[in-house]
Amino acid sequence: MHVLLVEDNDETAEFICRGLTEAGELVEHVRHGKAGLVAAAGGSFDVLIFDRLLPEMEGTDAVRVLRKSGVTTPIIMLTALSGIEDRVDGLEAGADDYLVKPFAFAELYARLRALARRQPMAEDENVHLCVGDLTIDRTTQSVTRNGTALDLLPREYKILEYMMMHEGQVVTRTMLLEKIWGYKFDPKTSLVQTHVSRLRTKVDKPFERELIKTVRGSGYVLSDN
Amino acid sequence: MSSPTTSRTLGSFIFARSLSIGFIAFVFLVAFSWCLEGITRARVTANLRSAITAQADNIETIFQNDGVGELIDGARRDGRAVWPEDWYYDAVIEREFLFRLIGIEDQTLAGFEDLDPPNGFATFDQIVDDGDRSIKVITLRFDLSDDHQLIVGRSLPYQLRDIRNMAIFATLILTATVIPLSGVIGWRLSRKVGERLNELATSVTAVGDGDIDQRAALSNRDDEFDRFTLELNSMLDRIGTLTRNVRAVSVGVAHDLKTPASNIGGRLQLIERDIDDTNAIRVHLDKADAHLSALLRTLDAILRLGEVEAGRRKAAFQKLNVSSLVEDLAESFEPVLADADKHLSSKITPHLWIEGDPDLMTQMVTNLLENVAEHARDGASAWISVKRHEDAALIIVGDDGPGIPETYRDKIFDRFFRVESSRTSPGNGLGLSLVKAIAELHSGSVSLHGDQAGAVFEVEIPLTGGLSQP
Repeated sequence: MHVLLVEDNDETAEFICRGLTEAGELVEHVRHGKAGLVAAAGGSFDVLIFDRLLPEMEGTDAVRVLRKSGVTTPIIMLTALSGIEDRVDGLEAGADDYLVKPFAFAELYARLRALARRQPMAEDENVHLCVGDLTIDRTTQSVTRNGTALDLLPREYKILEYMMMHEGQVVTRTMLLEKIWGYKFDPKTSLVQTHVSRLRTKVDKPFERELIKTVRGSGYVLSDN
Repeated sequence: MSSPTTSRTLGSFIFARSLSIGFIAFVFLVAFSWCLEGITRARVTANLRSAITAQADNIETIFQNDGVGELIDGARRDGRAVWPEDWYYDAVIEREFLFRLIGIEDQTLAGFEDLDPPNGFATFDQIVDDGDRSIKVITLRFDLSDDHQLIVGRSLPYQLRDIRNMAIFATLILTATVIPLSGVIGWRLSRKVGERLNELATSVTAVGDGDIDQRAALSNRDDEFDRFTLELNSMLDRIGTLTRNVRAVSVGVAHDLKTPASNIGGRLQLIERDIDDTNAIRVHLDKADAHLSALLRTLDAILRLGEVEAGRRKAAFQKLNVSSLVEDLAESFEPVLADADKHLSSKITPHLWIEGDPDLMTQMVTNLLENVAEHARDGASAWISVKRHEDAALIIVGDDGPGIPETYRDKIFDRFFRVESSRTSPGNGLGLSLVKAIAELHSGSVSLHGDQAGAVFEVEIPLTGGLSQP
């Protein structure tokens, strides 16, 4: 994965660069909005990270310019602001995702992977999704594993569908909160854990192999190995 | 705040006003007395002229009908047609008619020889009593025939002089009294007002200097100062409450941020101590991370609360099906509560629409449900319902125990307030403040239902445009 990071805060930049490099990804770092714009337009990146507040040119403006000039590379926006309008501004400018500082590196990485993988998969068009012996039919919303039909509640189905679309990738709790529930705040209670745990009881417990795995400190992965 | 300067009377508004009112009254009264004098004089003079004219007409009639001889004969007193000088002065003093008939070559045929005014009506001062006083006399002189002239006259009444003297006297008296009096009244008034204003200023200064509980004293006269003082005191009461709240909140913020921060510090020290034990470090990191999350959650809640209270979110309000929003939340949280050994049931009247912010409404209901998860007893029954109550949607979230002790009920919506027994459990005491702020942003209200075994919260949000909508 080739990542462009546009971030003026050196501490944050080092934290992200180091994490990505250790994960074996290729990362290029620039400090200013305009430099980021030039790099993004010229390079072949899989995903772009823009800080919201940048010297010379704001992150949202840079993203807007990129989108206008036809750059479709997925963009994730970082911000210290947590107001919901700020989030909406970022998404309206053309960013694909939005992450509020401070965040865990695992959270950022999971989102980067999700964004970078999304394009070639054309996920929205697949009617059937399969992972190992688990299959879902997205038109009838039916789930079968090893030939047995599983009875899932609508929300459990949605969680499973999302995980299957991101097979092999870490899906964090916050990602599920945002994508499945549409919540933009962090509930105190273990809302996501409870629902994922119920889902696992139905999807994994009656079978030998465990498909949904917990990734310590970040979230869940659905995979067949 | 600087202390108020003692009131300077001369520069005082009230003093200046009293003086100018006094001056206006003075000018008015003086002008009035002189007008009175002038009107009286004019009337008396006019009456006297017509009396003189009438007398002259009588004499002229005698002259025309009976001739000058008859007229002279008629004028004889003690056999004399031409009267002596001392009679003249008596006549002036006694206000008798004055009379002189003049023949050819200015020969006095009858009457007073000393009477010699110009033609037509004339007014002059006649000195009498050897120059002691003068009396105003009005005369009419005209030709009876080519050879004869007649003069008729009479003194003005003495009352006119009295009236004039009274006007002069009034002017002097008014000058001597009204202006100094208004000065004295103004000075005293401004002193009084100044004293009471100073009392108020002293109290206000004391409050400004930090003595929040200082209040201005009442005079118990129920006058405008007392009414103003009452207003001022109730304003100070409100400011005092706000200030105490702000203090409580800052202390709360500091405390709530300090606890997780020092816990993180503690974990950092433990990491240093256990630097060679990877497993121990992992435990410390997990704990430190949990404390950091708590700290960030508190900061988020504070920022969110500020955002909601500033009303900035109101611009993004939209039509919102509160029934399905709550139903969805009830579904999501039922398993969460079940894991915490609380049993949630729901009863939702469908299709109730409000004007609002979906994120905030979600957060509000979530906070109430999380409140149940945290504080209801194990095995408790909990319920959530949405129904119509007049023109509002009524959202009720409740449980059957143990509830909130009566002494705390007024305070539970205050920021950072936590019931003593719940201090040990996680939480920042902002959840219910946020519920209240969100309900109020939606022109609604939240209340704690009294007389129930458990904690039952009722949120009322006004409905928009009728019961059901597409």
